[in-house]
Amino acid sequence: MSKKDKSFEVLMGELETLVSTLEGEDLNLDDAIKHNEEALQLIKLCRERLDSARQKIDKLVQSADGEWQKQPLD
Amino acid sequence: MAQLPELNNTLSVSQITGHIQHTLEQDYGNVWVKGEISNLTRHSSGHWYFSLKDSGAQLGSVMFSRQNQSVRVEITHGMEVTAHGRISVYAPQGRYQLIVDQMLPAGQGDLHLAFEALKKKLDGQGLFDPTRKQALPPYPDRVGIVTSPTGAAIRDMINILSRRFPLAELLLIPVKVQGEGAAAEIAHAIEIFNQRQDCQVLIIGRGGGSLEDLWAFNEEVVARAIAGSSIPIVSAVGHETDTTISDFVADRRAPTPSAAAELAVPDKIELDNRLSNLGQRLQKNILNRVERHEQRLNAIQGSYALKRPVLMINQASQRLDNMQDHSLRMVKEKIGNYGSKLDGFEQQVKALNPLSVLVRGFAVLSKPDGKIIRSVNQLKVGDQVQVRLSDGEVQSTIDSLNSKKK
Repeated sequence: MSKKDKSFEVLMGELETLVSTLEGEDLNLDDAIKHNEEALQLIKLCRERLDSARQKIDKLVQSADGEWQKQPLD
Repeated sequence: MAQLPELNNTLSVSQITGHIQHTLEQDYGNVWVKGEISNLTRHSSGHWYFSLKDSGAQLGSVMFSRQNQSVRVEITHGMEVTAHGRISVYAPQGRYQLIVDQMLPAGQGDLHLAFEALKKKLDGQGLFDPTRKQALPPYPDRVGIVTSPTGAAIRDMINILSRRFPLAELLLIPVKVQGEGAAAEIAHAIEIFNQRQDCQVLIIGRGGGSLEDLWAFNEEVVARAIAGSSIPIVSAVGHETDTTISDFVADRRAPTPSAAAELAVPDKIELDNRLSNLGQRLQKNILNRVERHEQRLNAIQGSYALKRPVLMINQASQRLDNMQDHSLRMVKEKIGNYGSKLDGFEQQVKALNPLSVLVRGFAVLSKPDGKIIRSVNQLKVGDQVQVRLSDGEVQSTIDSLNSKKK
């Protein structure tokens, strides 16, 4: 699953895990730098998501055949 | 005729009144009474004095000003009401009365009784148990809403959800929130969301209204649907002061629909701060790390273990340099020596070569037998001699001889 497909919650979760891993001691410098870069990318991605989000609002209505369908809320 | 009393069985008036007071107040400390208002007096102190009566009895009642301020309907003589309160004994006059703390017109009173009964029943079944409450997700992808598609509640919620967390999609199942069939629609909508499982949190609710307007949210079918939901539910019915069964069963209770929207999603600004904070922590962490490693590196570099080989290498290299210089010097010296020796030989060789003398203009005379002539005395006039020059030979004859006088 690429980062783009992940939900905001998953991204935030990964970010928080990365930061606490980094703040733990037993990590070599190479891994720390790798983790750090990854975390910075995640922060950027989360920010972009927040900034670019346009709220999508739908309603669910039941059609004649009893199926529930999504429609944009006017 | 009663028997004469024994002294220690006799009670004083105060004593028996005290017993009656204790008994009544204990047994009737929390009662709902239905009756008709009569003899209503609104005292200048703000307290209301009246009787509740029916065809067979009447009950003196008082409702103090603090409590009667919350009565929303106009109470009039002859009105059928349902009153909640406690029986109290007024000892100086030997009277008991109902101290009313809540009063509703009879129809509403019935709803209240139904409310209390259902609340007690569901509470008894553990539906309000705090351990059943599910935590709300911190960053929901999609928020499900069960409310009326028209009205202030949905608009308020959309406003707040858009402002705080536009990342979450909103999915509304429009329902009737009051009147016939409303409760069933609400319960069904909750079930639909649970079948779909595409929302991580649900908000159910509506704006303010009368007790009857809010009633759907006090019905058992709604309470059961909420309790059965695997998706966490925020209940937001009416205003701050309204409490419904939904509120008790739901995972979170919000005082208003707007407040529910705030509970359901995080705030973008707070998130932004949180991201900044994480970024700062990261930067600090990596700087600390690099600094620590640098210090370690410096310490290792300065350590004797590493210094000693370096010293040894330096010394060896110096010795090598010295040796190289030395041998170069030796070689140069040798070469120099040979050189000058060769020069000497050359000189000698050159000096010994008779030809080199001839070049300077001298000549060598020799007899035809090749014997070199060194003195005039070896010659007489008429002798043939060979004259050797640097570039050839000449044959000549001696014309005269003059020897040098000593």
